[in-house]
Amino acid sequence: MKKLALGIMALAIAASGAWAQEIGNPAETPDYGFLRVGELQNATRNNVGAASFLFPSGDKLVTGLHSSVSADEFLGGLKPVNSLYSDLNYNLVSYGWKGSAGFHTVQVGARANYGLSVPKEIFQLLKTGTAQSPYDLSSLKAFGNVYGEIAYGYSRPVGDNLRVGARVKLLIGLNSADVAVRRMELTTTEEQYTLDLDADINLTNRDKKVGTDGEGYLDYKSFTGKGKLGLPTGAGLAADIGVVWKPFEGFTLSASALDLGGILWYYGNAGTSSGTYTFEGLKDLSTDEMDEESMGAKLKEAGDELLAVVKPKAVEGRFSLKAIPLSANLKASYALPFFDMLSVDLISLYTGYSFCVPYWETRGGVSFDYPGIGHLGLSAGGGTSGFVYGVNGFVDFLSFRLYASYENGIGGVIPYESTPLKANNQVLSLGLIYKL
Amino acid sequence: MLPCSVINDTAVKTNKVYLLFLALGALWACENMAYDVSGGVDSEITLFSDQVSLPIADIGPLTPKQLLGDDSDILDGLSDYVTEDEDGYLVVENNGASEEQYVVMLAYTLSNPLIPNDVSFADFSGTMEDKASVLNTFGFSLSPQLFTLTAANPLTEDIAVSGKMSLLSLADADNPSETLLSQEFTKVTVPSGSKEAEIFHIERSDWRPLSGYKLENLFLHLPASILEKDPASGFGSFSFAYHYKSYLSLGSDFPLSIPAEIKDLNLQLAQYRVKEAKICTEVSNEIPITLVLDSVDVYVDEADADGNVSTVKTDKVSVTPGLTISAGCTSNPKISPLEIIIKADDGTTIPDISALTLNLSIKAPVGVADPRIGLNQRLYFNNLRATVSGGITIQSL
Repeated sequence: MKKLALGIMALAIAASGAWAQEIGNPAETPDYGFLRVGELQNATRNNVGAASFLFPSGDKLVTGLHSSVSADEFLGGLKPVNSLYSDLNYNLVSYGWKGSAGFHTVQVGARANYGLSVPKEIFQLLKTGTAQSPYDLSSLKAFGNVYGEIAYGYSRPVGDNLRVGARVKLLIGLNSADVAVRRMELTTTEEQYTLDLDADINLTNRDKKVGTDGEGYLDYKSFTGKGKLGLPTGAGLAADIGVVWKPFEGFTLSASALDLGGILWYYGNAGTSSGTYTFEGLKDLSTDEMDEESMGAKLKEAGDELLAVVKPKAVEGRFSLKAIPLSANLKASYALPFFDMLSVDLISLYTGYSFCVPYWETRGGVSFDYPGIGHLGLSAGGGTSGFVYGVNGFVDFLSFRLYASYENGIGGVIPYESTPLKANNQVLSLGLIYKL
Repeated sequence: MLPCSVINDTAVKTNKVYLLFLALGALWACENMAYDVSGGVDSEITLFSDQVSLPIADIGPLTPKQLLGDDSDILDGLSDYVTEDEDGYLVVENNGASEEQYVVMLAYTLSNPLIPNDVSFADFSGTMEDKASVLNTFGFSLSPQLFTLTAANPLTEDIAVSGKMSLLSLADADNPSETLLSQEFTKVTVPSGSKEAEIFHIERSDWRPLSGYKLENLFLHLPASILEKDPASGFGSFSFAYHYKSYLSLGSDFPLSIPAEIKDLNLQLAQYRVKEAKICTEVSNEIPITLVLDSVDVYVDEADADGNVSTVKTDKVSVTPGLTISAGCTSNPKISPLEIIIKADDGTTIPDISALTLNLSIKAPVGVADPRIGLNQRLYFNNLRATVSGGITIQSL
């Protein structure tokens, strides 16, 4: 028992990914009914890491803006759009059972994701200055969504070698916030700075309402209503589709497209920042005004003009249909004919977001499957984040199956912080299945 | 071979321990101690390492009166020689009047007051205070010069006057005084009741400064029966007066370089480690003076071994010399692009600056239509902007 516990712990710590992808395929269903509770999958993807912003210099760490770090060194490590994305997929409970012709599943869960995209031009401006004007900052975006899922899935065989499946999901929007920049261009010349901005900020309000100031701008210090949970603020539909094809003995091809759909959100707290602001210096500054107080007043006047463009002007609540992050998965597996418990695998993944840079990867691997006991898969490959490896597995114990998977890159992390140093894809999945 | 809990107990034991350590080891190995942030991250940053340009302001209008201030020593010194006219121009003025000839007295001298009479009037001459000589030593010229002769006529009907006006120049080291003008005027009408009717006026820009005037052969051409027609006018008097006005202009270069000190500047620049700053502007100048910034002395505070702080001139910072603001004139300003580069020596940065001395040369205007100097003439620093090269260092954002 102790050995088994150690094994489980090892798998839980080091386990990795492909299995979690597989169970997302609605066509991949076990040959037994199940009850799954409290499954968790957390994916964090960043196309640049902390090492793009922090640099060892002697016995200390400095930022990329430190004088000891050259512009080429700092900016060369950044992407045109630098993104961070995190997705937490929590399956509260799911139940699967075999029907007469196919396999049925129902599932209740919750998803939370957030992302941030920062254009390289911002860092270029800060690092090197204004000589590279104009700066297109339109890829500056941020978002966060929390929604629930109620899903029904069905799969069935088609012929002898093919199995298809689909899952329909009712999405219940709980909270959403985003800053969507349609146009943000900064032109910096000796004579003038010009900011051309067109952006929306959207916050679902539930019971809380952001107030406005006297000029109609959103005032984030002013709220009305209580912060209690209220009615859903969005609703949507999504579908997962998948297919499993076994054209000949030992070979399995599993393909799926997940989260095809979106949510129609109602943003009760919405604002738009739009306009062009031009700063040509303080105007008509006379000698009488060249004291601290008058200069301060002039600067405040210029600042107010800038704020009039940047601050979101409150608008009536608006509806917005937003796609949820979708993913496409492909896995080919071939069980070796001379030792069918050992398979070689090819795994591909593509994830597209509304806001962040898309992510893809392809890995090759091997997996060892001992029916009734457990499974262990190892894989490695590359993609958007460079090299990535994965470990996944499960162990069967009585009627339980504990599975875990872990995918990561090799760029390392900040000590004690676990923040990746390089572009990275990190996915951790844990779950417990009760076989009925 | 990977662990499998039921295949072989011995293998399981070995492989699971191996797997556990592999997993834990892999996690530890991923931690790159060079990036240990627990000791803090140096928050010093240097922004805009290539260069950053920033529009600053349009400054103006500035006038000499504003720039010099009400308590200016320069204005105080000039006040003995020049005054400010109603339009703000600096002028030298001189006024004088002839003796009065009362109508009643004049009427009694007439042999036949019932007919028109031509009455001789006493010659009227004088000298003007020599201010030009002193002003000239500073390069100022009196140009243009205006001389106006007026007459008073207390009668209720017009009279006419005739005479000869002469104007004399000021003698200088090279030239004796000479008559610049000798002009007769004949039967110029002086309207009834006028107190300052202009009967002679001349404006010249090419004359040497006037030193004196002479009004000769003066005759009043009186109508008949002046007292009979208007007895009350007998209490009035005939008289002549002159008004001399000369505008101040800079005729030749100011002989001395003027050090303009800017004390207590206390520019705390060292902390930003700026290597070079360029300040550009277009100067719009209505003042008919060409201003040349010959050089700039930069002063810093230095402490000696005992900790005594003194302000000393430094040569570790250079400021572009030879900047010229060209002369313009009222309503026709001259635009001069100006570029000032403040640069630290190689390998150093600009220190805290305690004070500046601007060594200025004032030069005579060239090709200016109107050279008159006024205290309300305007100076603008348009499109003032700065470019800092080499970065701006700050300790943290």
